[in-house]
Amino acid sequence: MQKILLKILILPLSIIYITSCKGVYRFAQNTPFSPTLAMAGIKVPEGTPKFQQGWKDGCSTGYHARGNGFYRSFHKIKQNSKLFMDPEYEFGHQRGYGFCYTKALSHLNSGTGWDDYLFARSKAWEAKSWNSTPPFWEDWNSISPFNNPSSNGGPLGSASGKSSGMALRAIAPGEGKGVLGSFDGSGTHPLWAGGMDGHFFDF
Amino acid sequence: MKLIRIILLILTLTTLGSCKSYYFKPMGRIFDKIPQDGSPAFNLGWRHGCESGLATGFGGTIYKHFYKWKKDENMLDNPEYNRVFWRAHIVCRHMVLGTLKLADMAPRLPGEQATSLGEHNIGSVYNLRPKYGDMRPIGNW
Repeated sequence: MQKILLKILILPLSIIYITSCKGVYRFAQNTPFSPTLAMAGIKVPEGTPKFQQGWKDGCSTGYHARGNGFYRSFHKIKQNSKLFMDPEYEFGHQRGYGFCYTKALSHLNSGTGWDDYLFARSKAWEAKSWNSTPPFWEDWNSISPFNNPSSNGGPLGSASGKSSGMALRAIAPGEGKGVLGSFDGSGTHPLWAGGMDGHFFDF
Repeated sequence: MKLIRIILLILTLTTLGSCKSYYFKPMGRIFDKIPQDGSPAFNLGWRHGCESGLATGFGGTIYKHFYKWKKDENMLDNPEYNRVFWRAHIVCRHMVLGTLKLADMAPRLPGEQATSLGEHNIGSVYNLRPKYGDMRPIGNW
């Protein structure tokens, strides 16, 4: 009886110890069967090695910052102490952080990707379609407590002060700036289009 | 006699565990996870930035009791310190918001009803049915 119990325990314990090995984790990270699952299918944007390194570190930090305990057990806060002053690395870090931050939100907030601390929705917003433009009497910028119309329209807004409420709608081409940066319909890469403008997580 | 030994052992272990300066502060373990392998300005920037981020309104009253705004005015001219400070500030600010949202203890937004006494308690962080589906206790609190 004891031998049977021992055999029953050995198999799950072995699996636990083997999967805790770093080598297996690194392999799994690059496959569709990544233990994080959320990382599956995410492709690091093309760029210089420093940019890509920054993007990866930023993405890991973003997942750790906004994810739950599960995400935090797989993703760590990363910033290269030798490269952090490099503009390419820093740019990649910002972009990766912003992308994976919202990615974590989309998984956690019941798939909506919404967070009331980023932008407080009005009832009119909820009643409207995703891509609709608000009428002139409805100023979405004034609802959120985090907007500052006198300067940049809030953390999700562009320097021009416009489109604060449209940050998450920046997927559509030509609709201004936001989390993903500005880009037009000519196929500019959405992750870094617009240069340094439109990034979310800077003061 | 045996009970006294057990009590002494527990007290000893908890005392030794408190050797870390952030042990008794909420989310104190984050300071073991932030990058500390750089220059003194880099390390200090992360530490001060993270503390300042935890001291924002996103942390609420509890966190503001333990953490305060911390920026060394003597390091304002140091570009490394300044850059890292704000990065750390943002990261830790987002972390505390995420952690509190998991426990459904996030600060109230404008227009919402103010927090009522008794609604949140120490047991909230061990809520096994949190809002966002994480079934494990919120150990990072």
